[in-house]
Amino acid sequence: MTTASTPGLRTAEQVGEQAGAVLREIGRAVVGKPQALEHVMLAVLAGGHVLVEDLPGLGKTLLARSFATTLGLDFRRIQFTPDLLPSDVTGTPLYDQRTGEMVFHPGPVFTHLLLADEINRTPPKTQAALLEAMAESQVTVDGATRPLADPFLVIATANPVEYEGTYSLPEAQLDRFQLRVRMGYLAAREELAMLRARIDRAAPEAVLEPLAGPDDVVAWRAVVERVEIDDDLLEYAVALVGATRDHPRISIGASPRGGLALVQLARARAVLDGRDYVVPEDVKDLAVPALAHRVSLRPEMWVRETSTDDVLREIVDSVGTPTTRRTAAVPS
Amino acid sequence: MADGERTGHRAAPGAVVAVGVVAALAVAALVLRPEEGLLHSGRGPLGRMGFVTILAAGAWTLGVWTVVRDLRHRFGAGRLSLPPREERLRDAAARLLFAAAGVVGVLAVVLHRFSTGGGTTGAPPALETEPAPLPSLAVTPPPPRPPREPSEHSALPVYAVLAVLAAVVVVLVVVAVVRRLRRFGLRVPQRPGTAGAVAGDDDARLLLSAVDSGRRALAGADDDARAAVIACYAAMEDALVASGVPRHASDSPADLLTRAADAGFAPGPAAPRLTALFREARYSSHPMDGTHREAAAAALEEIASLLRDAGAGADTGADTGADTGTAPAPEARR
Repeated sequence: MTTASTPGLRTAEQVGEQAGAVLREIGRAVVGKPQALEHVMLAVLAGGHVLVEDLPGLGKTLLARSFATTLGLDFRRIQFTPDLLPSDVTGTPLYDQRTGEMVFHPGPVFTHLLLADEINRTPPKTQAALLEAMAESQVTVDGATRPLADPFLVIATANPVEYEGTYSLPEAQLDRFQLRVRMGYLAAREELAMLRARIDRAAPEAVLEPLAGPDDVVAWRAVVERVEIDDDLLEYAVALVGATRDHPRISIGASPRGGLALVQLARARAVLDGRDYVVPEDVKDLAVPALAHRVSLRPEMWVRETSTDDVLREIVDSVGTPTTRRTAAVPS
Repeated sequence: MADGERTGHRAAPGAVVAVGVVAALAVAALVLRPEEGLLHSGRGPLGRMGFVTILAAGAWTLGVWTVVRDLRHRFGAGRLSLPPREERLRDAAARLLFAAAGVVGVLAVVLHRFSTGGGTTGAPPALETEPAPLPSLAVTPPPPRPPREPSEHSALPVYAVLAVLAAVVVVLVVVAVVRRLRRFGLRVPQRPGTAGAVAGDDDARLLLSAVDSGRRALAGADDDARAAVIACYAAMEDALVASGVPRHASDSPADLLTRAADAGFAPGPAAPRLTALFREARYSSHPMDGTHREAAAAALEEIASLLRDAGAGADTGADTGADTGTAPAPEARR
């Protein structure tokens, strides 16, 4: 299941090749969504959580399950409903009649990859049960703190259109997601290819091969931590985040956690590209998926149907990238 | 990017715009209003020359189009600094002003009364001695008129209105197509002539200057391969800009490369190769040695050669297409 390389001693180029192979394998099942797949893979590498926000039937669940299979991760799914309780997520202590003690029964959150399906269908109390798990990879029940598995990744899906019986995610919860992914509809040619592939394989879904394991994912994340980033690029990331706070159409700008997520995702993108250093494209291309869900527009923007993605693109197009020449000398 | 400059559109000075608007309003008033008073519906001093009205209306429409195009930049420039409510008011006022100004040109033609055959006598109609055609006069029997009197006040011919509207539509379509082509980075073919040759000379000179600056940087940075690679990339940037590829402050190296490739200025592998070298030299602490420097220098020479060939091809095409007989400048032939 795992690759032959020794964990911890891999290079960015090796990890880039392995992650690319995983993406190609998942691409057999999730057709025509290379950018969405890449973004989820970046979250895997960067150690973050993903919010997949789009209409029903676009392959959100298939995407999560495909990643779990191909990465060889333990997979659990929670279908969020209005009557779901926090203990249904985290687990609960139950009385054991034989021993006469309270025994903790871990909930579905004790897994490697958790699919939180339709997370906006459950009340904030249950949504908040995921907060600690997502932020700190641990769960506290009855005063006892229990660590979660390593790696731990949440892929949450949300339907942005339906409002009846839904509970919008609060800003604090949204901020826990490292990036937001939108699937979008397939182009006609890709949809035709998907239908043709379904008929040819005579099975509901493509059978994917596991190409990695939990140890590989941990080793990949260690490689990401060794990626260097120039000070000018850090200033560029800070300028992007700062621009969200000064924009007249935005009431609440991105948090410092947004800047951390942007930089970490940029480093992950560098590894996925086989580099051990970040370039401006890494930061620029990920600013919208990393920051758009962390900002709140002014109320009047809702009437105009302005999306945070549009405003973030405007910001990205207005903030200058680092200059061509270095501002400080670096020895060769 | 400090050395990247936005290719801003130069707006017309405010005084020129104001004078133009006042002048155009005066022309419209001359065309629309009679000499006799506000309640009189006769012709104005230019009414006997229908083509003047049509030309004035067309000129007005084109003028409004130009002014709108210029003012849009000014309205858009301060948008980010306004609160949403003021921004909405500003948008509404701008749209109303622009639409109203454009409608004036159309109304000038539609409401004007053309004379279709009374130009032979040369005598102006005796409007001063006749009473204004009040509605009450329609009840009383009209006074006897000369036979050609009704034709003098005939309504605007339909074909004239259609012709003006068609001309306006054609102009708008052409302007929209040209703007769209420019937005997508395509170059509108220019007329061959002296101005084009001069512009080509300037571009060639800028291109050679950029490449020379890269060579000088290579020669002067003997012990710093990193600086040499970065200088080569900077020279490529300058050369691409000199060749007409726009550069923005928010551009990443990939953005510039994509735009150059779309414009046909980076067809070979040299530009991506030099860009990759630049990224490593600029944003990593990897050791850089002579091989990196030589690779960057070779890529720069290859790019310069491609750009020179592209420029020479364009100049040759311009020379063969033009029948002006002017020889290209020596710099353009290089």
